[in-house]
Amino acid sequence: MKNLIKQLTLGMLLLTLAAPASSELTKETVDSMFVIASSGAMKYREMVQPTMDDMAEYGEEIIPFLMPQLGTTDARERITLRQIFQKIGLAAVPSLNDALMTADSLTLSRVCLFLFYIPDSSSVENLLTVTDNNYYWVRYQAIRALGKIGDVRAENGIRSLLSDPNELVRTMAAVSAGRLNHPDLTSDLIIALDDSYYGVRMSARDALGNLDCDVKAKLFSKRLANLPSMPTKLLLSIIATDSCQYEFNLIEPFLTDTEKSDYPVALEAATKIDPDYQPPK
Amino acid sequence: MKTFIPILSLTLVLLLSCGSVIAQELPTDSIPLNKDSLLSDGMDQLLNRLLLTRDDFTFRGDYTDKDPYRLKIVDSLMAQPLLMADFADNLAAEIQTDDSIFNFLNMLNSLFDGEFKNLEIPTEDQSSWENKDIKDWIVDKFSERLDRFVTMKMDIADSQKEFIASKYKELILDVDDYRIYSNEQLDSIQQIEEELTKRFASSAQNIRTPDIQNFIELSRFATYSGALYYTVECRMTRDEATGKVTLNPKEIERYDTIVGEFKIALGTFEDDIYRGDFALIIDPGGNDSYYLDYDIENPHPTVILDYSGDDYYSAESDFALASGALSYSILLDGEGDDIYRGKNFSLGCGYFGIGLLWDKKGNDSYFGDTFTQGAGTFGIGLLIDNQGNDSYSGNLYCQGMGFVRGIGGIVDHDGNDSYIVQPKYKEFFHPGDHYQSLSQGFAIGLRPHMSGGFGFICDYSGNDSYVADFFTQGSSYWWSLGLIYDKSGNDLYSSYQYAQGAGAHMTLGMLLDCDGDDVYRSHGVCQGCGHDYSCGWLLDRGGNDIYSANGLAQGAGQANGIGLFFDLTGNDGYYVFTSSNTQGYGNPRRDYGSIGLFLDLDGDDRYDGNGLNNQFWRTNGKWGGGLDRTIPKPDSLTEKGAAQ
Repeated sequence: MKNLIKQLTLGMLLLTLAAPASSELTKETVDSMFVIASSGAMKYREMVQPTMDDMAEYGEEIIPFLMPQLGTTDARERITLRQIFQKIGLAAVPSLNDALMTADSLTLSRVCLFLFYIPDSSSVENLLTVTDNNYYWVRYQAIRALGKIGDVRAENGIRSLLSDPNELVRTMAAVSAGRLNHPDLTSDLIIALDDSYYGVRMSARDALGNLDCDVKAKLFSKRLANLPSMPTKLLLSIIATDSCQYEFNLIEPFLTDTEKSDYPVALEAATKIDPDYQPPK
Repeated sequence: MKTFIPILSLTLVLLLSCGSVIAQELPTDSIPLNKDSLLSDGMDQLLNRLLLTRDDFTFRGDYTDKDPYRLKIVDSLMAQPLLMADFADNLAAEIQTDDSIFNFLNMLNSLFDGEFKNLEIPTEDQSSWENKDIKDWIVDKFSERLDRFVTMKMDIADSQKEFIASKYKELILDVDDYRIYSNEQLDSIQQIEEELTKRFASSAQNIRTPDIQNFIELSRFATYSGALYYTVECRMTRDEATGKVTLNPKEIERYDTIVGEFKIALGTFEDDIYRGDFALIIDPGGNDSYYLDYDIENPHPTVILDYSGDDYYSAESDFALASGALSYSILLDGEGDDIYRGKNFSLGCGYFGIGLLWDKKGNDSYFGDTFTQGAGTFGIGLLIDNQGNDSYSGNLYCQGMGFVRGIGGIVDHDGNDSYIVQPKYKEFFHPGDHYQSLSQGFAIGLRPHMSGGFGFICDYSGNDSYVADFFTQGSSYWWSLGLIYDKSGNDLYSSYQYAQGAGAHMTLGMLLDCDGDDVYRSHGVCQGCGHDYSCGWLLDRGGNDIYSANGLAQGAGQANGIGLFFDLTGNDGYYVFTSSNTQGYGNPRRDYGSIGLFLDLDGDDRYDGNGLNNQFWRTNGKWGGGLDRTIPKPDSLTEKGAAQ
């Protein structure tokens, strides 16, 4: 058994070495190269990166051979594929866009992941079509890629997925909302501040924190006084940490009751606005 | 007390605000040291400062496709990892007394699928053998049950049985000496193992349903063996003047027989020697020597009951000595300083079955190589030691180790014990001279095909030392649960990586030390570190402790994981080499973050790193921080003064 494996791997090695010189790729050649590029074997340690680079050099020509591998459950193979596609770059996008319309769920999630690493506006429409896929990793990766692309057409998709039943999808929707930085999503992000999952809340907070200073100032003056506890604290934490200048009266109402759970963060915000502020004794 | 906590919280929150944003000085206040309320109050206080809630501590069960081998308890605690402490306390309470051991076995059964099946311990009719010779009675009684004993093996197809007896075993065993293999040979071995894993994962699903039914039956026999032990013990009388123990109605002579195809032996009070593959040995006393083997191709139960003497147990083959291999095995030793020398799959090993080694008294030494001293896969392996200063030595997958669909544990009630995993099996993927341990309250699955099991050590008292290298001491890998629960004593924990309350890849690890002045030493991914949707938790409830680590430690969440480090009381010292990812650190990953919490709730503490005595701090990253509080002890003069 061990000898057989040795012979096989030797054969693969020879095929691989011959591959870059060959003008026509074959499945066998690509498979052999992929074995090495994604290998954790000690004997290939020095060959992993060069083989990956060689494969990427083939550009779009190699993509049809790689597509069947996208459904792998092996973490090492998945990372290798992602790195090859990323290295191929925009030339890989049309094939990936096509795959969005045809692939199975697991493969779809990988396609979306790769499109995150090769953001291109040509993917927006097709990505939007999979944001309602049953497999949550597809929705997660699709909305993540859409956020990275930063196209305004993603707004409704993001809004919709901010109320997805899956907390990881909601988190990624909040992250993407931040990347889109579109004021129309503000109300949705305010709601997300009260999410039961920290990833959503914190990402929504970061997204709101990215808004322009004047937008934030208006938002805080309008909403800060009438929100539940957690959204209030998160908005106060933005004031306490970002570089915009705010009026002290924004936070004054939260400095009166030291028993409330939002008092510590309100005090941080007060100190940020007025470094000389001293709480009443 | 309940009304006191909000007042305390209020006071602390009020005073918390008197410092800078990054690190803020805390107030001093005096409260009784109720550790539960201390933890609850302190944790909520820290969470409030970090804008987190207890509900944030949750993981999904479907980050990867759920395989059928996942333990129910792993799924439950992944959903609520903060319940790990309660789970550990309950587990430890369940086995506090001798009588509950078989109930404990039943409880462990329930961890597989969440269904507790209470097994009644059978009782023997004493009158039926009052006038019988012990030899006749035992053979009679045992013969009655022998047919059932023989059938008590796993209901598995022959083809699978063959695979289990050879290939699956190879999957677990590592190469003896890596230095004699070339890189190519080692790669080939790894490839073969990966192929075996895939093959087994696809076929093992058929084992699942019958194995659960058989566990129940096997447990029933474990309870019967316990009853048999007590039944014989009842017929023993000790002469108080001479200390001599005799068996009624008369002294026995060595008796060997074969019932069916299985060897049975009845020993004497002299120094007996046993060699071979036995189904039953009952030895009333003497310093005995056991040289036992077991043929996994011909599985059968084994019961060894030795009541006293300094005994020597030697496994002459794999799967010998309290190894429930495709069956059930129990070794019960009453008293004496014993030496157990196991090979692979020994000394409380459940390998598609249940194996129980129970030593009630004496300073004992346990030796073994791989899958030994409380290790289980598709079964339960338990090593229980009630008294004495014991030493445990193994090389890999040992000392409370849960492999795929398995539970493995050590329960040590008393004595200053030493748990050592020897540096035998090289850790190839890490530079430097390091070794795989995969032991000491550790559990692991076969990624990505099969979830792992539950491995634990429960040590109730004594100054214990735990020494190992990679993957150890309350840690786990891939949908598993690893736990060390040490109730008291000044303990030493020494390891290198993935250790001391750590989890890597959708899994759970906890080290819970209740009391004593302890020393914790490790390198990275340790001391409360969760990596990749995992939770690692180090909880030390008392004592003046010292912690040292390099990085990703002392409350570090990595790759959307959760790392919890809680020390409740005592004057402690904290030392880290890398302050950027320790003492309350959350790693930004996958566009959001992780959770890392550091809590020290009392004492005058010293820090090298982010922490400061009596301060709250928030670290860079997403999202983590720490809280150190000092609670002055009540002062009688002050109180008297106030009263006057």
